[in-house]
Order: sequence, then C-alpha cells, then structure tokens
Amino acid sequence: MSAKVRRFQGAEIVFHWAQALPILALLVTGGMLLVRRALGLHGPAQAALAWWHKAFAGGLGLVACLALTLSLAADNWRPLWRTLGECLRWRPADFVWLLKAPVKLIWPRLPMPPAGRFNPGQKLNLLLQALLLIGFLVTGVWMMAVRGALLPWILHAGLFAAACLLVLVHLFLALVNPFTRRALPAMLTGQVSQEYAADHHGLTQGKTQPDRSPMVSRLALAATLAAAGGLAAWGVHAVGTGELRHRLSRIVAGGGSDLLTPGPLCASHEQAVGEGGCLACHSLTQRPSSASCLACHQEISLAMRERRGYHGRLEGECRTCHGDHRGREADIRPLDERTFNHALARFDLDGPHRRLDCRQCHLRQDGPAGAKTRYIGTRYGACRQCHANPHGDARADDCLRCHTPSAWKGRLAFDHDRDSRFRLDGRHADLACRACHATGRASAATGGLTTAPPRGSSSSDPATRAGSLAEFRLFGLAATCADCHQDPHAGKLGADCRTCHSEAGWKQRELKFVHNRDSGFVLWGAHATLACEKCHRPAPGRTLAGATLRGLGRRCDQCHKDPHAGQFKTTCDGCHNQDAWKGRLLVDPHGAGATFRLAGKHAALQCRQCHVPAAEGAPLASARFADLGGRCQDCHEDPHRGGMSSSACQTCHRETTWKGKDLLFAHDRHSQFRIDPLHRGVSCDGCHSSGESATYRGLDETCEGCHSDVVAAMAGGAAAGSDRARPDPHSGRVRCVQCHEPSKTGQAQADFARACASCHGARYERLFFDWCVSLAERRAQATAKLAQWPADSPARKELQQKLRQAARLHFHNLRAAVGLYDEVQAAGGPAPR
Amino acid sequence: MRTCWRASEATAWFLAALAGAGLALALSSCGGFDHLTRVQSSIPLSKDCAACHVDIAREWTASPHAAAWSSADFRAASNGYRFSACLPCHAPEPAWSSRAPSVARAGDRQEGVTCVSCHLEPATAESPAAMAGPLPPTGMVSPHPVTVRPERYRDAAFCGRCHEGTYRQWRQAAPADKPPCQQCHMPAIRRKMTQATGGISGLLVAMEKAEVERRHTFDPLPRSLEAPPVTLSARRRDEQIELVLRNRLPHAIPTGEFGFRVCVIRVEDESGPLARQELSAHGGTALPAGGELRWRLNRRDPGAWPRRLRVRLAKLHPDGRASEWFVLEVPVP
Repeated sequence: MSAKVRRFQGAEIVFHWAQALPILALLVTGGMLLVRRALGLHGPAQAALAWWHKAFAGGLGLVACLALTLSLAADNWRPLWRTLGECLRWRPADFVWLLKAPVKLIWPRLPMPPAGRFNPGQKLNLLLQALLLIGFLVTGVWMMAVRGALLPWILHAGLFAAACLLVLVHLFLALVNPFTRRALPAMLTGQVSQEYAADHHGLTQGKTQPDRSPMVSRLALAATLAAAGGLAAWGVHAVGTGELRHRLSRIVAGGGSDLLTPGPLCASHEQAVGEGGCLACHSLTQRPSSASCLACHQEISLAMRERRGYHGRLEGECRTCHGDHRGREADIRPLDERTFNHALARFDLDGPHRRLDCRQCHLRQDGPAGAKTRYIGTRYGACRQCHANPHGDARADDCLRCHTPSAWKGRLAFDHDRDSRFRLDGRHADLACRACHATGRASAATGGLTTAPPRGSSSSDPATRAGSLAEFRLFGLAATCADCHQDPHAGKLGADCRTCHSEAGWKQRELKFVHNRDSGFVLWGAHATLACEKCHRPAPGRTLAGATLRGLGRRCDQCHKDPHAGQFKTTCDGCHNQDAWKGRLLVDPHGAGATFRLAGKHAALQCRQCHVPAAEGAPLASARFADLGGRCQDCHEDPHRGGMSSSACQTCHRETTWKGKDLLFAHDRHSQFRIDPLHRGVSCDGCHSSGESATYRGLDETCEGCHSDVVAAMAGGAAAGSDRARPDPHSGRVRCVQCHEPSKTGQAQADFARACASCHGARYERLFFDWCVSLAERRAQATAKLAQWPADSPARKELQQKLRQAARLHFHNLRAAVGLYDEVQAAGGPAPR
Repeated sequence: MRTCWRASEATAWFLAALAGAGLALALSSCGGFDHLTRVQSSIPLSKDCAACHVDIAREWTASPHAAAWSSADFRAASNGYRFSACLPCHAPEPAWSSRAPSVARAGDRQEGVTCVSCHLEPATAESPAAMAGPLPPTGMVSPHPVTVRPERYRDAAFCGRCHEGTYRQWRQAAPADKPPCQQCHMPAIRRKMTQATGGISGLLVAMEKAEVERRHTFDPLPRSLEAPPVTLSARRRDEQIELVLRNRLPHAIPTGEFGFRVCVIRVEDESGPLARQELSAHGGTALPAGGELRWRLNRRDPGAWPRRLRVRLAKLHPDGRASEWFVLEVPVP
C-alpha cells in the first residue's frame, strides 16, 4: 500500500462531478439531436430531447454560477481559483511537454519534462473545456434568442464535435487508459498514490527529472479505437447503408441543409425552396423574416399592403403564425375551418353566408389540382359569382346596393333614402314598394294621388311589398312629383310642387307653404286665424287646391266693404290692421302723428261719445270721424262766456287738467296780476267771485280793489264802526304792503311787529305785541259780555255786529276797534228777569 | 318912666314871644315846607310849587308836560295806561332818583311830567331832599333847600333822558355849537322866579332879584326862534321851479318816537298851492338835521313864473287839523 497524497480538494471534486454529469447529459442529448437530424429522424422525440438538453444546460449554468459565488465567498472553495490559476500558468517546459506528448504516444519512454499538479495536457483540457463551455453557453443562448438563425446552430454543432473529442479523450484517459486510470480515485476521494504523483506529477513530489513513465497505453488505445469502430459499424448497419448513402447525398446536395433541418418542410415549401436551401428563408444571424415569405406569397403580400382580408389586418412576422419543418403533409396554416372567425378576414359572414361551407365560396377552379380552395385573395363583392341578378337590369348588378347577406330577400338592407336617389319622406315612406315600382307610374284610378297602399295590402308584409321581382322597375323612375301625381292647381302655381308641399302629406296642415313667407300677403291678426277657404273660395264641390290661390287682391276693399262711407281719404291700414279691426283695437288713430291726440280725460272716453253715430244703435263705423274739428269749442261750451281769450283754452285747460287745482293757469304768467306769496293761498273765487258772477278780467289790481272794506275802515267813519271813528294814522300814509309783506305767504304777528318797528323804532315791536294781547283780552271780555244776552235778542245782534266789526278792524284802525270793544263792554247788561 | 320902661320891656318881650309863637304857628300852619321835598306815597304836587312859582306853574300847566298823562291821546295810546313801558316817561319819578326814568311814579300820575320830575333831588345820606335848578336861590328865604346844578339843567342830555330819539338826533346833528333843547323849547325870559300868591309866600319870596330864566312852556312848535327852522332857496330850472328846503334845526323835522308825529309842508305860490308834503317822524320820511327837501314844481301857468313861493310848515293832527308853525317866503329869481 503506497502512501497517498492529496491531489484534489473537496471543492474541486464536487465541482468536477457537478459539471461533469450535466456535460455528459448535454453531450448525449446534443449528440442524439444531431444524429437524429442527420438521419432525418424528425418527430416529437426531437422536441423532448431539445427540452432535456436545455434543462441540463440550465443546470450546468446554475452549477457554474453557484461555484463562482461559493468560490468567492467560502474559503474551502478557493481551491477552484487556485486550480484555474495553475492551469493558466504555462512555462516553457509545458510547451515542450505538449510538443513531446504525441511522440510519447509512439515512444512511451520519451522523457517528458516533469509536470506539476496538472500536466500541460490537463491544463489544456481544462482551458479548452472552459472555453468550450463558454462557447456552448453563448451559442446556445443565441440559438434560443434568435430562433431560426443558422449561425449559432452551426457553431453550437461545431463546438459539439470538439467537445465530443475532448470528453472522449478525457474519458479514455480516466476510465480506460491503465496508466491514468489509477488517478480516478483522486476525483473520488481526492487522494492518489504517491507513486502516481511522483510519476506523473513529479513537481508536486519535488522531482525535477524528466518523467519517463508511460502515459498512454497503446494497447488500450487500439482496443478503444477498435471498439469505437465496431460501434460505428453497428450503427451504420442499424441505419442501413442505403439509407445512409441517401442521407449523405441529400446532405451534400442540400449543402448541409438537410443536416441542419429540424424537420421536413411542407410540400409546397419544399417544392418552392428547391436549390435555395436553408438560406432561402433563413439567414445566418437573423430570424426568418417575413420578406422571404412574402417574396413568394405575392397575394398575401398584396393583401397585407392593401389591408384586405385576413392578412390585411395583421401586424407582425409570418413566422409568428406559420411555422414549418413539421413534415411534408403538415398544413402550416393555423386554420380551423370550424372556429375561424370570418370577421378577421374583414368580411363578416352574416346571414345565410354564415351557414355555408368554406368551399362553397372559396373554391377555385384553376390550378393544376383543379378545384382547390382559395382563401387568400378571395374577394367579396361578386355576388354574381354565386347569385344571378333577377332584376333584369344591369344597374342592379351592384347587389350590395340593396342586399346584404342577412337582408337578401324580403326585408332588404336596402334603404330607399340612402341607397336610391329618391328619398322616401313623409307619406312616401308608408307606401308599399309596388305602389310606385310596380307599374312605375301612379295609378290613374286614384285620381292622380296615390296616397294609400293598394287595398288589401299591408306595407309591413314583405311578400306584398315585394311582389314579383320581375315586375319591379327599380331604376329610371322619374323623381318629380308630376310623374306620379296630377296637378290639382291646373298648372297655375308652376311645376315645382315642393315650394308648398312635402311628402308629409297633401293636406293643409302638412303644407310647407307658409303664407307669410311664401306669398305676397302677410296674414296676421284675424287673418291668420281664418281658414284658407274663406279667402281662397273654392268653387262649390271643388277642393281648396282648385281654388284661386294666386292673384287675389291685397287691398282691404277687395274683401271688405267700407263702412265709413268714404270719409277717409287714406287707405284702411291708416287705422285698421289685421289685428285691430273693430272696437278699441284700432291702430291708434289718436296716437302719435294723429291730428287730434287723446290725452287725459279724452283718452278715457268711448269713441262714440265724440264720434256719435248717425242713428241710435248704428255701428260706430258709420259715425263721422273725419273733420270733426279739433278746437275745444267744437265740443265744449265756454263756461267763461267769452270772459277769457276764446282761442286759448289750452292756456289753462288741458285734457288732464280741466278743473280746479289741475288747471294750468299760472296767474303770474297768464294774467297781468302777479300773485304774490301773500295771496297764494287765496282760492280763485276769493277774488274772482264764483258761479254766475265770476269775473276774470278787469279786476282792480290795487289792494283797495279787493280790500276796499279794510281801506275804508282805515279811513274812519261809518266803515270803521261809527261816524265818529277817526281815521287810522296810517291810513293814506302807509301802503298796505308796508305791513303786509307780499313776499311772505303767511302773515305772522312777528312780521307785523317787525313792520311796526321798521318805521317806528324797536320799541314798537313790544308795543305791537302788547296791543295784540290787549285786543285779545278785549275781545274775550266782549264775547263774555255778549253771552249774557239771550241768543235772539236784537241787542245781542247789535253787539255781535260791533264785535265782528271790531274783529275785522283791529290794527287797521286800532282806535276804532278799541272803541268798539269798549262800546260793547260799556253796553248795559240785559234787564234782569 | 323907669317903670313903664320895665313893663314895656316885659311886654315887648311878651309881644315878641307872642309874635314869634305866632310866626311859628303861622309857619307851621302853612303846613311846613317839608312837603315840598318829601316823596313818599305822594309827591309834591305842582300846585304846591305853584304857590310860589306862579308864572312857571302857569306855563307848565299849559305845556305838554302837564298833559303827558292826562291827554286823551296818551290814554288811548297807552291802552288806558295799561302799557307799562310808556309810563316811566309820562309819569316819571323825580329825575334824579335812583329809579328814574325806568319806573313810573307810584302815585299822582295824573300830574304827568311834573315839577318834581325834573327839579327834586331826593334825600341822600349826606343831604336832605332839595330842589335843584340851574340858578342859585334868588330870594332871601327859600322854603326848601336848593341845589344849584347849572350844568345839568343846561344840558340837552337832561331832556334826552326821556326824549331819547330826539336827543340822539340832536347829538348827531352837525353843528358844534348847536343849541341844547332848552334854548329853543324853554325860551329865556328875565323875571323873578317866584311870584307869591299869599302873605306868607309873599313874605318868603320878597325882595327877589329878577334873573334870566327859562319859560317852562316846552313848546313843541316854538315860534320865538332866533333863526327860522328851515331855510329856503328857489330858482328856476328848465321849465320848473326848484325849491330847496333845508332843515336848520339840530334835530329832524318832525321828531319824536311816539304818537302822531306828522308835519305837513305846503308850498304855495301867489295863486294857490303847488305842493304838499307830509313828513312823519315814523317811517323815515322825517327831514333830518341839516337835510334838504327838493321840489321840482311845475308852474301853474306855463307862461309865467311866480315871483315868490310861500312855504307853510304845520303840525298835522290825527283828525286832519293842521297847526301852523312857520310860514316862510322865498323869492323865485
């Protein structure tokens, strides 16, 4: 038992097996994939193998990542980096070793430079293996990413060859070659015999002499090769030489495409590809593009460009839906005839079309195979392809104008308004088709107006509406009214019925004719409420339509008689209009612009109060309206009996201001006597008397003119109460206005006092008030004295007279007033009973 | 002889005593003279003064001062003496009493403006009541004390205490040497102040000297003026006569605040009246002192000019009577 030396650490061992097994699996699955392709064995197994291959690749990738992570993180995984470092350290002796190695195969005793832990071959193997693995990974991912690209597949396959070789050599050396087989435990336990280590890895044992021990057993090699050859021969036999030859020739003929192809193309593609090989559709680095498909499939290309049909709405690449390499008989169209949504082809199957078989429309009678289904490029619109035109008119060839697949017979999709040049409006829409289309002209039996569907038919019944197709005259029916309807206006209103009539109906309420807009005579007011027949009187037994509609006169008197017996020179519309004919509805004849305006009380009068009709109960219109005369005197008696200027009633009187305080009379402006504020409160009859004796002119304007009694009293004498009464000192010396200030409306005692003081001095103000008090006292006493007498006694009357006189006098004749009061006071009392 | 002589001496003394007693009795039987200056519930009446100052009393009785209360006009104008504002001047307290002239006399109002109203100086703490006047006593004996106050009684302000308005006009009159009221309205006269009516009064006022004193007529229309109250000038102007009347008095014509104060001026030519104008002391139509009235008078006869114009100044009474005062003539050049 020789001593053991540690050759591999645990990490290295784990790592080795962790990748070795997936690598084996990958090689096996990859090899099977390749061989089956080469042998033309296509089928579901290929897909399964490919899946496992990818799974192992993923596992290997995982292992690699894990190893990387662990080697960086964990100390006991560091040996992996050391191993890598060792393999990357190359000395010149290593190159010498490599050069000598093939010679060593023949001459086993060839001295080789001593190797370290890894001899250069192992180093090379590790590096190459790493490179290969990287290459496999890159190309594998590339293959998955760009499916259909050729280059990554070729590279991947190429790498496989190299990897196969490498692994086989490795396995030979590890399992078969006796000299190196002894190192197998090293990859299991990590230890190897010291002797082995000294022989093959001398440097690790401190040996510096060249290594003379044999490395490869020639016998083992030969036996292995022979076994491999035998295996190959068996394989060839198993497959069959003919088959192999055939395959080989095919591969060669196809430029290797047969080797590459994952499955046979569909029959038409195989035919089309021909000599082009893989490159007819595939590129080296790109996915198979739609351009290469569409280069042949021109119709589809056209459809897509024109956005027609099924493909017209699609975006994206052909390969998305159409995959090939599924076998010759494969239908690469993902078309399920049962579930295909025809709407995707931009053609809705509606109605009866939906129930048809595809081939009833999509069958083409051309091509070498005779009738074949044609989906692409089948256009709709040629109803005639399947249906005959029963209408007997070439203009009806455009079936789609009236028919749709769901509305083919009976209830058509035909919309008269939209699809013909004649809109069915109003009553036209209620008609049965045959009413117009059956004979093409209106039935003369209905008097020229076909207003109702034929008796016994209902417009909703398709059968009766349609009638016999052959009878239908679809086109060329003229679209003027006269083509169907007779003109009841006997041509007097022109040929264009539409100015007044519409399809809504013939009757008056449906007329488009608007009198106020479309005729020269505007109807408003009472005219607007009249029935047409009142003015456009039809002949007995005839309808309104036959009446005179135009040319009626517009003057009032053409319809209405003049009740005013020609009083007015103007036309009726000077006062009347269609709103205001009678009564107080007149266009205001007394309004703006009238010769006689009604204001104030005049406005409240009834018309007939001024315009009196000739006879009792006669209508107002017969009264006299014109030339009534607009002067006041024409209606009103002058109560002033000429006392005022007769031509100027308006100076004082207006219709709103006739009497009393409403009079416009302004004394200051209209008379020569200015009424001062003192007299402002005096009523008119205070100066002018009233009633019969009213005088307005020629009154005396002096104070004395009205107040003669006062002036006389001031002058003394009898007017002042007694013959002995002396004149007041102011009489004849002081003008009335010196005490009675005319500019003041009220006469206040204070004003009088001031008047006194203004002449006599300030003391007289007090004097005046003293006299006021004294007079009041005297009056009171005198009144009390008076009361002693019985009511009706003459003495009392006399005293009363004196008292009244004194009260009137007062300051106008102070002495006289005082005298009178004293007389009353001095008069004896009544005789005691 | 010696015995008689002794008896006559006794008798003489007895007779003298008797005489003295009789004199005293006589004097006391005159009532004394206290009443002359005593103001209590009654005043010294004018008749008391009249006992000695006969002429003055006679003048006064006829003057407006005596009728100041009793005139019918005043009675009516004061509303039967009810207007108390009028009374203090028409029945004044003695002028120099503390209450004059704002209070009317309590009693004897019918006297009007009586002697004591002007002349009585009431008793003060220092001196008894006395009669005041401008002149010193002229008799040997005066029954009442006399106070001489010439400055007071010769001053227009004395009259102005009651005649306020006229005094105001007088004061505003232009001339500096204008005569005071007394000069025109109390004309000067040389006489004795007293004229006794009885024995005792005669005795008392005997041997009085005559002085220049004033007549107590208080004439509102004094005729004895040194110069006419107005001056006239007339001349022809265009076809009219221009007459200018100028007031020479130191107060307005007419003057006075109360009562009927109207002066009427009539202008006449040889043939008859030409113009008549009333001037009233009230209402501003009075002719002020120094003021002028101008008339443009139309000739009666367009062809002839009057040679002279006569102007009559008269006082107008309320009943229309005119009391003529002055008549002046002026030639028309």
